[in-house]
Amino acid sequence: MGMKKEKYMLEALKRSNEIAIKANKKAYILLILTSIAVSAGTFVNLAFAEYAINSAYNLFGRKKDFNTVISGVLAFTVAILLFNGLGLIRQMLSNRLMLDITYYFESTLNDKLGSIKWEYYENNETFIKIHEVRNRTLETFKSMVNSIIFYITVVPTAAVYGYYLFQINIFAVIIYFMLVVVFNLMIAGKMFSQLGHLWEEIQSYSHRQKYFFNFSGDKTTHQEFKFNRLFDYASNLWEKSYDSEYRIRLKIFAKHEITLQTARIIFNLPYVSMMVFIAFEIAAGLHEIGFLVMANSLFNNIINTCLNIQGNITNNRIDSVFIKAFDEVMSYENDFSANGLPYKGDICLENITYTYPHSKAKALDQLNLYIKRAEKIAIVGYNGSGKTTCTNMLMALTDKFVGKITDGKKAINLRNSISCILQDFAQYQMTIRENIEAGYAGCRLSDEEILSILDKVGLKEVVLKLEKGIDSRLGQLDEGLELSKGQWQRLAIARLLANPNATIWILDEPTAYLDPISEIEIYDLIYRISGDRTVLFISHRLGFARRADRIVVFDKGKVVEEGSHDELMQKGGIYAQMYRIQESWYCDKARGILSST
Amino acid sequence: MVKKAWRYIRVSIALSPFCFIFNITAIIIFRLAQLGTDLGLKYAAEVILESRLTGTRSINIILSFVLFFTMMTIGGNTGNFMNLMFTLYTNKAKKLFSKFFMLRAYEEKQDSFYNNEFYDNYEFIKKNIDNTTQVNSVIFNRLLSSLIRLIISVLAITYFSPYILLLSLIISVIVIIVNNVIVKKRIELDQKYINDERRAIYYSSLLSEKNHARELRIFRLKDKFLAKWHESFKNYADSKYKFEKQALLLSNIPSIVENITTAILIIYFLYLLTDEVLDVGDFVFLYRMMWSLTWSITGIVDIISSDIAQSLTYIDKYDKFVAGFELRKARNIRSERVQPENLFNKKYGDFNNITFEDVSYSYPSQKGNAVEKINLKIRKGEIVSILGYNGSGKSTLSKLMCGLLQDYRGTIKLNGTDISGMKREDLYRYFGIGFQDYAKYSISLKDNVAVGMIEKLEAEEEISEAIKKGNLEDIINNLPKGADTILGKEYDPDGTDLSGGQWQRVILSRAYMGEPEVLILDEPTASIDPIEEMRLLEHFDEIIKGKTAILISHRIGFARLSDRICVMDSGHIAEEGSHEELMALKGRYYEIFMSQQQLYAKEEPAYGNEKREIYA
Repeated sequence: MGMKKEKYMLEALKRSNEIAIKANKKAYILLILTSIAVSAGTFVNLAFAEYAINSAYNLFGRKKDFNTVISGVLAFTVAILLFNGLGLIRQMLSNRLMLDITYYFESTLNDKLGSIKWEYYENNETFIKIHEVRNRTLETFKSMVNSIIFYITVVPTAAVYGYYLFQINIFAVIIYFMLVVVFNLMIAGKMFSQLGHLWEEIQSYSHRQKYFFNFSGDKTTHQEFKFNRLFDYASNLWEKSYDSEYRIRLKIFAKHEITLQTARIIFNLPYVSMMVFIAFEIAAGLHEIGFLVMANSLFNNIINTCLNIQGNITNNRIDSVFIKAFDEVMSYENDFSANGLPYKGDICLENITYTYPHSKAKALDQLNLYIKRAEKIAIVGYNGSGKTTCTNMLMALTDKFVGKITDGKKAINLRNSISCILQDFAQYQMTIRENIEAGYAGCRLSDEEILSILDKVGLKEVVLKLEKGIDSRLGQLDEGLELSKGQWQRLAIARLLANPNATIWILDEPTAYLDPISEIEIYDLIYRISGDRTVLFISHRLGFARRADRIVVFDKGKVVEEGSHDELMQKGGIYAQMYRIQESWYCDKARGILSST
Repeated sequence: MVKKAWRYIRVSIALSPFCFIFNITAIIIFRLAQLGTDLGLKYAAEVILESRLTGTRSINIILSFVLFFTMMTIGGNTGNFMNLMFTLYTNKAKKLFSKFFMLRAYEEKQDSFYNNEFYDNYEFIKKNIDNTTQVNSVIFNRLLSSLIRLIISVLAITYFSPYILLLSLIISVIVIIVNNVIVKKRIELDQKYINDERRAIYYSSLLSEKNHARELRIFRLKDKFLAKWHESFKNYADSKYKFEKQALLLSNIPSIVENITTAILIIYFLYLLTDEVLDVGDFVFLYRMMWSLTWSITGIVDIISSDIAQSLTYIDKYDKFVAGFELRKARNIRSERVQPENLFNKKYGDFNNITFEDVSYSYPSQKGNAVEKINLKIRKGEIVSILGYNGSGKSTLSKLMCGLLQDYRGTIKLNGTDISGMKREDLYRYFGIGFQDYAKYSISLKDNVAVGMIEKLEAEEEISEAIKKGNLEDIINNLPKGADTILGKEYDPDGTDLSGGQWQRVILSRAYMGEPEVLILDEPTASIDPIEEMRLLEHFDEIIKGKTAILISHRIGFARLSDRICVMDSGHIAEEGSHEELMALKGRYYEIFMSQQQLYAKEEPAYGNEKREIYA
C-alpha cells in the first residue's frame, strides 16, 4: 500500500511537471534557474553572519582595521540586496507561471468537460469525480509545481550546507546525517501520515456542523424554517455537532502538537550536540567565533529544510489522488460529432433496451417504435415510464444501449437534425439575442430574424419596450433583467425556432409554466409552422394529444399503446383512462366527480 | 469600529478567562524563552572565547548549551500550538456568536430576505462566521506576540544605544505607507474586475454542470461558451497579473530599507566595539536582536494594514446585522424560547375567519406590486382555491395570510383582530403549509414530517396520523431504517434519496402534521402525472372534509374541489365565486375553462385565434 502511494505521488509530480511545461515553458525554466540562484543566496546570509561576528572579534582584538571591515559589511549588504532583487524576479516569474497554469488547466478542463459524453454526468460516480477535479485539482497542480521547484532547490541548498558542514569534523557530520536521515524517514514520516488520517476524519463532523448551521437554507427555504419555528430544533442539533467537532478538533491539535514537539526535540538533539562539538573546536582554535553563530543559523535552516521536505512529501502524497482523478477524467470518451446534412426520413427504433448507470430498473425495455417522416407524435405515460429516456436515445446522447436506431436499413445518428425544448430548459444569463442564438450554434441571426421569432412566441412587444431591446442582459449575473418563468419558457421555445434547418423537433413539457390560453397559442404555433418536420412532444396535457397524427403510450419502458386518439379511446386502455380523468374536470359536474370515475 | 471590536474581544475574554490568561502567559513565556536563547548564545560565545584565551576546556561551555537547549525547547512554539490555544480560548465565544446570529436571522422578518442587499450581507456574514473570533487571534496571538518581541528587541538594543528607536520609527512609517498603497489598489482592482471574474466562473459552470449538459450537446454550444470563458478570463487575469507585479515592486521597498538600516546598525555597533563600549558577546547578542527587530516590525505592520482591517470590517458588519450583541440574551437563548405551557393555548381562540382589507404588497428589490388591493374573507370550514398563473401573486397571498410577510399595506384580521400586533409564532400555529419550494431536510423521514408542527416533535401518535394521511407507508417500507432513515446524502453516505413525487407526499404529511386549523397547499402536484394526481386529489378530498383549506394551483382540477374559487391575475383577484357562479359570469375563468373544455370536446374543436400577450 505504501509502495502504491509512492508510485501515485511520482506520477502526480510528473504530470504537474508536464502541465507546467505546457503552460509556459520559458517561465518555468527561468523560474527553476532563479530559484536555484536564490537558494544559493542562503550562502550569503550564512557567510555574512560569520563575517560580521569574526570582524567584531578582530576589531575588538585590534587585529583588523575599521575601514576594511566596513567595506566588507557594505559588500555583503550589496550582495544581499542583489539576491533580494533576484528573489523579486523569481516571485514575478512564479506569479506568471501560476497564472498560465491556471489558464491552461481551466481551458483544458473546460474543453474536456464540454466534450465528454453526456452519460458521465448521469452516472453519479463519475459525476462526483468531475466535481472533485473541478474544485481541487488546480490548487493541487500549483502546489505540486511549487514542490517540484522546492525539491530541485534542495540540491544547491544542500551543497551550501555541505560546504559548511564539511568544515567540521567529518565523522561528526556523518553521524549527524545518519541521525537526521533515521529520524526523518522513520519517525517523523510516520507521525505526519497518522495526522493526515485524523484530519480527514474531522471532515465529516465539520460537514455536519456546517449543514445544521445552514439549516435554514437560502432565501426561499428560509420561509419554511421561520414558519415552522425550527430555530430550537436546528440550533440544538447544530450545537451537538459543534461540540463533537470541537472535542475531536482538540484531540487532533493535541496529538499534532505532541508529534510536532517530539519531532522538534528529535531534531534539536543532534543540533545541540553539534553546537557543543563546534564550541569545543573553537575553544581549541580550529575555527573562529563567527563560525558558531553561523552554525546556529545553519542548523536551524537544515531542520527547517527537513521539515519542509517532510511536509511537502506528505501533502504531495495526499494530493496526488486529485491528479489521478484528473487523469481519469481526461481519459473519458468524447462525444462524437455528427456531421452531414440533417436527416430527412423515417426513424426506426428496434428493440432498444437501456438502464441508467447504477440503476436497477430498466428505463427502456425492448422498445420498438416506428416514426414516419413528418409525423406529429404525442408521447404520453406515467412519470418514469421512459418517455424522456426515449428522447435522450433519439438525441444520440448515449450509445450505450442495446438495439438499433435506423432508417430501416442502416444505423443513423440524429444529433445534428434535432432542435428541442427540454423540461428543465436552460435560462442563460446572457442577452436575449444570445439566448436565442444558443439554438443555432455557429450562426448569427439578424435583428429582423430574431424579432420575427420573438413575435411568434409572443415576446416581441415586451422586448421592444426594453431600453436595450434584444441586447438586454438577463439574469442575476450582471444585475440583468429578471423574467418570469413563463417568459423564460417562451424564450426557450424561441430557441427551438432559431435553427431553420432542424428536421426533427422534440418538445418535452413545453408549456408547463404557461397559462391554458397561452398554451393553446403555442401548440397552434407548433402545428402551424412545423411544416414537414417530424415533431415529438411529451406532455401530460392530453387535450393537445388529440391533434397529433399518432399517440404513443409508454409504460415501464415499452410502447404499450399507439394509434390515433379515436382508436385509443375505442381500445379503452391507459390513454383512455387518463383522457377521461382530464376530460372529467371540464364536464359540468359538481364535486362528486371524483367518486364517479 | 475599534470600540466595537474591543467589545467583542472583551466578551471572548469574559467567557473563558482562564484560557485567555493561559494563552497570554504562553505567549509571554515563548517570547522570553526566545530571548533566553539569544542570551544563551551570548553567554556561550563569552565562555568559548574565555576558554580559548585561557586554553582550558571549560565545563561552562556545556552548561551554556544546556541553557540554550532548554530555552530553545520552551521557545519552540509551533503554529499548531497557537491554534490549539486559540481554539480553547475562543470556543465558547464563537459558539455564542454563532447561535446569536442564528437567533437574529430567525427573528428577522421574512420580507428582509427578499431585499438583495440584506440577503447578500446575511450570506456573507454566515459564510465567514469564524471571523467573529478571528480578531482575537489577530490581536493576541499575532499582534501582541510580535509586539512583545518588538519591545524585547528594542529594550535590548536601547540598552546599548538609544538611536535605535528613531531608526525603527522610520522603517515603520515607510512600511505602513507602502502597505496602504497596495491595499487600496487591490480593492480598486477587485471591484473593477469582479464582473469579469464572475462571468468567467459562470461560463465554466455552463460547460461542466449536470443541468446544462444535455442542451450543451444537442445545440453544440461548447465552442461558443469556451470562447466566452476565454474572453472573460483573459480580461481579469491580465489586469490581476499587472497589479501583482506592481504590488511586488512596491513591497520590495520596505525590505530594501530594512537591509540598509541593518547594515547601518551593524556598522554602528562595530564602531561601539572599537570604542570598547561593547564586547564580542554583546555584539553576538545585538546581531541577533537586530534581525528580531526588523522581522517584528514587518510583521506588525503587515497585520495592521491588512489582517486587522479585514477583521474589524467583518465585526462591524456582524454587529450591525445582530443590532448589538447582548451577552445575557445570548446565554439565555434556550430558556427564552421554549415555554411549553404556552404552546397549545390558542391566544386568539379557535379559528373563525381571516379577512384581507385593501391589502397590497411589493417585494423589496422588485418593481410593482405583487398583490394589489386584495379584499378577501375566508371562513371556517370553507375550501377556497386560488387559481392563477406564474406571477399572478397567488403564492404571495398565502404568505401574507399566515403572517410570513409583514410589510404590507392594508389590514389583515384574524377572528377580527389585526394580525400586525400578534406574535408571529402564535399566528403561525394556526396554519399548516405545504410550500411550493419546499425544503428537503437531511434528517429522518419521521422528523421531516414532524417539523410541520415542531411543538409536537415527540408526539408519536400525531406523527403516525400525519404519515397515514400523506400515504407514506409504502415509502417507509422501502427504506432501510423505515421512518428513522436519514433522507438525502448531505453528510450521511447511508442517507437515502427520494424522488420528486415521494418528497411531495412527505411535504403533504408535513402540512397535515398536528391537524392545523387552516391548511394551505401551494402547488402540491407540480409535475405529477394525471393518474397520480387523481389519486392524490381523491385522498385529499377525504382529508380536508369539514376543515378550512386553501388550495393554490394553476390546475383547474383543484378548482373543482373547492367551495369557492378566486381567480388571480397580475396581483388582483379578478373573479371570485363558486364554479357555477364563475361560469355564469362568463369572465376569465369561463374563458380558461371553455378553452380547455373545447380541447376535450367530442366535435372538431375551434382554437383561439386571437394572439394575446401575457406580460406576467
